[in-house]
Amino acid sequence: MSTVVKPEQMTAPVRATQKVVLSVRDLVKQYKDRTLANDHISLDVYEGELISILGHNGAGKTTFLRQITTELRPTSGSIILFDKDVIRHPQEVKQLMGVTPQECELFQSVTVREHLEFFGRLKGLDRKRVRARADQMIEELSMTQYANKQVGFLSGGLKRRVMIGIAMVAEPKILVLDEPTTGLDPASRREVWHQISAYVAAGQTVILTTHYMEEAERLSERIAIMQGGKIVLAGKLQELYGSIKQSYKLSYHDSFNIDGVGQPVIVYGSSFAELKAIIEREGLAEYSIARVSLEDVYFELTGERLVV
Amino acid sequence: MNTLKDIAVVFRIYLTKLRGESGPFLLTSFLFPAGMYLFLSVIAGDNHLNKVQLLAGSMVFSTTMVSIMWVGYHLLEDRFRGRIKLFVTTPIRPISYIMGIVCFASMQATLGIIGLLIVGKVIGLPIHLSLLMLPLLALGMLAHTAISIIISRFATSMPQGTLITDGLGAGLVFFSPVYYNISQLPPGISHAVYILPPTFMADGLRKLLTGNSNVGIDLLVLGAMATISLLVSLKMTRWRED
Repeated sequence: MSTVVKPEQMTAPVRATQKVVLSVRDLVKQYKDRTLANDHISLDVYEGELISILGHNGAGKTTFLRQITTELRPTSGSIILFDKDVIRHPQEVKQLMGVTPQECELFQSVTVREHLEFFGRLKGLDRKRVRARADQMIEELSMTQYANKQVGFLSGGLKRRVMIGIAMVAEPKILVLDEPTTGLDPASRREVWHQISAYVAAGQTVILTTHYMEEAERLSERIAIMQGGKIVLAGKLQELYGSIKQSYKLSYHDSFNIDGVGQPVIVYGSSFAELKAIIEREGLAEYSIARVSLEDVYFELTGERLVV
Repeated sequence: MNTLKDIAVVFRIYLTKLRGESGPFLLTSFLFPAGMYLFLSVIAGDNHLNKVQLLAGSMVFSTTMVSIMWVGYHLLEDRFRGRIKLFVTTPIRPISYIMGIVCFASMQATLGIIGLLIVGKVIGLPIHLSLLMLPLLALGMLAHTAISIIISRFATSMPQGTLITDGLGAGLVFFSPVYYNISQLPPGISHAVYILPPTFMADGLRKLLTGNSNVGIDLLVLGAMATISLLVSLKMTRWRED
């Protein structure tokens, strides 16, 4: 089932006017222990879109992102960000990127404002500009009441918002988020989603990795599904739904067990009419027919279930 | 210019971080070396030359402890808590990050040195102060930087890393002729200690504290050691992994 997605097979941007800002071609990463973490990945990211890289743990998502963020040297292939070669000019491309790494702590006794100002300075903002941007970020992140609190006293969700603030403070052209909501409670996750959505609504480009179906479905314009170090499918949500033959799902409860309580039954079909025929044949009174979900697509492609 | 600005920002980050750790910071930078020197000087009796040697030794001990243990601790903490990624993903150079932490550690070393000099004055030692102490101590600190960096890079866990930095920080001083004369060492070891920075730091400080400014050789050797140490540090601190 797994096939490498070649550039010519990749989908067009959501809006025709969008230009390519990040171009990855034939990216291979093989670690010293011979593990092939990324296997000839090609992907285009368009200006102003949010693309999610979806896959289970170990699929190669973080390895892929860490090569884009210049933290990891690729074995072969090319990465071009805004016409700059990421592999050859890491310092230059870092000016263009805001990154939220996975598993990264903040300085516990440093305040929210100080984090934004210090890292804004390291990203090249002058004193005056960094103060203005920190104020703006605190307001945009809805963190006014926490601005002068040490981050050690903040919840996991608020800390993650600070991380996103650090990534955004120098107004990068692209935001790279590695599993931005992993480990957060549902309320905190929604807060982070809101922040990311607002950033994209302002016309910025975001690439994020996730293993949450809901996150990918809610936030993304396009999704790339990774398995075994490869992108097995990339496209707009509707294109992904249409990529599997049996794209309709019939759900009902059977009534043939001894308790008289029906067991849930799911039947997939290639068309609405096909499922309607089953309904008539079985004489079903209560049922639902829906298009398949991203989870169904993912399962069909990879044979694995992800966290929903 | 940018590099200096970045060093200053990294220094300020660690200085701000200190607000949660000021107690242990003051304890290790001031009380421990001063207390240790007081203890040793009481044991040394009335011999002023011995006491000056012990003072120089305590200054070296304080500086070495800070430059290996404290710098090492921050590097290890940043690596194992993932905080290093906050720096790696900014456009700053590795040297700015290292020097920012070394500058911060120097502040602690300075506090320790001032504490020791005050104790020396209080107990009535005829101490000569010299500006040459500053480059001598600074080069000594830089000469140790590579040790912290190598340990922080190859340690497999934070406890393992801190154990090695603590052991090396103290061990290096006690192996070097810091609290005693080089002639008191066994023949094999007396030659080997010439590769250790504390040997030259102690020799230079001993001379300066007794009013002898003839520390050119000590500065030269420490300068060479600091250069090698910085080159190794730069080689070992790479923002991009393979």
